Amino acid sequence: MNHLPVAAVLLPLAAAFCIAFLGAMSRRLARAIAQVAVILDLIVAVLIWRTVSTAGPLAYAVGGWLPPLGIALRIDAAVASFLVLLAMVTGLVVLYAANGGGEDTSPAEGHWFWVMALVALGSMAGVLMAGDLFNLFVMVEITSIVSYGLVSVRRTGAALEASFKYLVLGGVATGMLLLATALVYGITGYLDLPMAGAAMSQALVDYPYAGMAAIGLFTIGYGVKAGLMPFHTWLPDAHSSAPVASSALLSGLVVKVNVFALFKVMLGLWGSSFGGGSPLRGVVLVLSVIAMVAGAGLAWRERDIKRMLAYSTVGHMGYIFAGFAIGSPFAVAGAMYHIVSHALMKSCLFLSAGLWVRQTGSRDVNRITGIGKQMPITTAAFAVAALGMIGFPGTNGFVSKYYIAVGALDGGIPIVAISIIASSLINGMFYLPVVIRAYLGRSRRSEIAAARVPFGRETAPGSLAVVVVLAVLIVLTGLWPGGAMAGFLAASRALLPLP
Amino acid sequence: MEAELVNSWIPGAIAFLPLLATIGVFVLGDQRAQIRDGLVVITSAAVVALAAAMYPAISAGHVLVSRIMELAPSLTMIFRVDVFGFYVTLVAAAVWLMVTIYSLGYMEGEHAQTRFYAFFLLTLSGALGSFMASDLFTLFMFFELMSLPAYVLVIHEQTPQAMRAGVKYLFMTIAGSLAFFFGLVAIQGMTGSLDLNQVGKITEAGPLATGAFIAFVIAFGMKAGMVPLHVWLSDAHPVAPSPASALLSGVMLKTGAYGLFRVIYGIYGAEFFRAAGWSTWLQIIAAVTILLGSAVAITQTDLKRRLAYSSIGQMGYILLAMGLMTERAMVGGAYHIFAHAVVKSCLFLSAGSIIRQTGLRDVRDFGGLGYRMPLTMACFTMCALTIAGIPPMNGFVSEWALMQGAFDAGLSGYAVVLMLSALMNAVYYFTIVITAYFGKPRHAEHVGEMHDEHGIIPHVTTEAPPQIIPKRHFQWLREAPPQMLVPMLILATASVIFSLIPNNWPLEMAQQSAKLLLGR
Repeated sequence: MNHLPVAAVLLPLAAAFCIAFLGAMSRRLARAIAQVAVILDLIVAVLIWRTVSTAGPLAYAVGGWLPPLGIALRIDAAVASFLVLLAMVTGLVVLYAANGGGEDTSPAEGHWFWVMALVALGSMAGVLMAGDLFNLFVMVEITSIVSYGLVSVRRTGAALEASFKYLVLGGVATGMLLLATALVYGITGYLDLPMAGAAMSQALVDYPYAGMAAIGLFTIGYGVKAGLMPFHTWLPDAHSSAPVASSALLSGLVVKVNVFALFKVMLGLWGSSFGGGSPLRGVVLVLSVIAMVAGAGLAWRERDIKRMLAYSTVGHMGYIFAGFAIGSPFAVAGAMYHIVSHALMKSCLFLSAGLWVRQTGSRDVNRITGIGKQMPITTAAFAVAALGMIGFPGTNGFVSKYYIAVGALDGGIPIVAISIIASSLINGMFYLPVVIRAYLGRSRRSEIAAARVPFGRETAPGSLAVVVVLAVLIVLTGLWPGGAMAGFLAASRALLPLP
Repeated sequence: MEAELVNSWIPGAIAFLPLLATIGVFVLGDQRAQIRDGLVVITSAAVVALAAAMYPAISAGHVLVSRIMELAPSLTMIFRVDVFGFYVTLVAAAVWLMVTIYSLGYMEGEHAQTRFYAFFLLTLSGALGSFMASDLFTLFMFFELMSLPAYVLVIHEQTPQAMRAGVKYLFMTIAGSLAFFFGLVAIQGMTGSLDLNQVGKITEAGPLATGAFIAFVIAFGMKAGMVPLHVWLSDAHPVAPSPASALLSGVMLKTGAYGLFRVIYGIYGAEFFRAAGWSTWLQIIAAVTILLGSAVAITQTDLKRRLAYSSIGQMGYILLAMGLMTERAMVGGAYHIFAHAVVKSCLFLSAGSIIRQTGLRDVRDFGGLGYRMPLTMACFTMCALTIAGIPPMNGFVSEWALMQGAFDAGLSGYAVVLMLSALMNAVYYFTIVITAYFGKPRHAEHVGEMHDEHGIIPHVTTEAPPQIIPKRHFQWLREAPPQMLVPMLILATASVIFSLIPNNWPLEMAQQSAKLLLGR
């Protein structure tokens, strides 16, 4: 029971290892191992969550070696909730891909998708739990490398190019993170986050420029990996050219984990969200406010549904950055809740869009006219997720936006609340026409096909079940955010310095 | 004034019963149309019965509360029904029941009936939930639940015109919702609570308080058809099928007015509202709405567009009452919620009846219609008399109260506005009535042939195309079937009977509501 944290990282990695060798022999075996592994990992995550909610935050020293030399894993209520989210979403995506999901009926990638998805699962868990800078760096790097692979897993021309762009930019970011880590180690003498944080205030007096450089490098480095504007340029290509299962993982989980890593570093080292009174907070606020509106605006112009969803992710990352940068308990809790909401919503959107694309053979938004008749359940799931993105009450999107907005007013930055509203309006302007066209558009092909398809048999049942589960979760977490939200509020109040 | 709070399951049941019934409607679908239709009617009737069942407790002075759930700290779903809420809920539910019965006749043979009835019920749930909401979040949630499904009702015909009107409606609704969201967040930020019953916490008209108020005016005003946010109304109401138009004009517009009533009198408070000078602004906007709505209605020749603009003008009366803030004005405004709901829905139902049975939509073609559809036109005439404010009809009661209220406030200018409006109403309603009874049809000899040759009369736009009738089957009497007639007659009777009988129940309710809102 007390080795669960390590299991959360090692179990998926071990499964990935097995699949890498055995999968070449039998694709069925690879799929089976993958599905079993994600279910087991979900159980591990839930157990960790139960332990943390009853016994309080958990600290685990890997191999029994204590800091400052050993690696410490630290799990509080927020991290535990995210671990469950990670396991659940990855599990659902794996189930989707294993049961007929995705745009292509003949995946050319063999078993590599499972390998990389599972490695990502393990390394992201590692990022969430990491208690020291170097371990964090290693885990972030593993996640990034596997992400590049997830983009290009189908080896199409566009994907390879996007993956390469992602690799270059990500590599530069990695370099920055390494340099920042080195700087912090240099000036404080510690890699363990709490210890380095304790030494930081003195270090900043001794080495002010190094401190500023470190904070700036961390922000840009993680900003690139999390898709903060203007460092987002790799994202639209990468998330749109990847197969939908990969996009769901990338948009839903990978970028979030990087934002959370930044928040953790800021809090651990500088004691408050985005360095207290540093000008960096203002910069991040401005960037995130712009991102919220510009991301949505750029999505509105898109005709390719996957690029539309990718730009929408850029916009929503703005919400999360804004919430963290504002720093008031409601705002931070709202940002954490938005990590959960957006992960669920974006993966639902990508996965249902994937089912559409598979049916129509095209990613053009105008080609899905009337598909709601043929695929009512899939379209309903997309509609629910779209309403969530707009912030319709009853969905989790509303809850997180509400908390961030109230937190913005609390924190004295009302512009964020206005920007949330403007962004939601623009989100409505491109999501709603898609839903309307899908259900109310007239298409002879759809009507003929709809007549032949009985209710519930519109596509492979496994993948259909996955999008339905996601849509239901969106509504459930929208109507009963209680436990998770209270947990996030408590965590954010505990983490942040008192106002 | 603290009334006794009583926990009750009834408000929750009223709000959720139609929601559950929607699932039933989808499941039953077009295959079991009769059972599905029966389910819709039974649900509407049950909701009316439940609403009426609240009367004993309400008249004893209690306030009924249903706590549904607490989503998160400060986000709760609670229903709280006081006199005002009860009154509006019962009126809305009763009107909805009449329209439901009418729909059974009207929608026969139409496409996408399951979709229509399902979203019909969702809109009902949303409207009633809004009337019973205890706090801003509940109000927001049910307001959205009402507004979004109403889109599907508006675009039911799916003609290009309907889709355009629908898009306009949808985006204005979403803009309104986001304004509502801003107000919600601002109120939470300023007072720490979203309750609709927290007068006195906001003490100064700072930028946030003002901004929040403007946001609420945008959100609710847009829904109520306030100028200049009324532009969706004149397109959406005509293109929707007539039962939907009746509900949009009869009930949905009222939720906007109701929400604004609650925000002004329940959160900001009457004193603050007057002291901040906002009441003057509201009065001016209301006066503009009244005059503009009535004036433009005169210029419209399409019957449903004329009725739509008339609704805009009439909603101005209610907004004016909100702005005048004297007790008699508030009584007038509250009574007008009842009067207009009954009358406007009946007018739209008769319009639907005329269009469906004869295919005529242009008011200049209504010559002789009074004899071809005697009962329908009788209903129309009664309602027209009511709206124009002829005593002893309902409309007179509310307009008289409003005028007295204007004098009470010392602002007799508004009484002049009301009289002008009454005059304009008379002009555009009575011309229709006169044409119907004393006019000759524009193409008198060719009415039968028009149906025969084209099947579609050139200026008919988006209603169901009239049936092609060969000349030898040309009927003089084209009255509507009983399912459509009976609700219209009941509504028309309601528009006149309450002011005749000694016990004017809606008036009593309106008086108590006014007292409640003003805190006396």
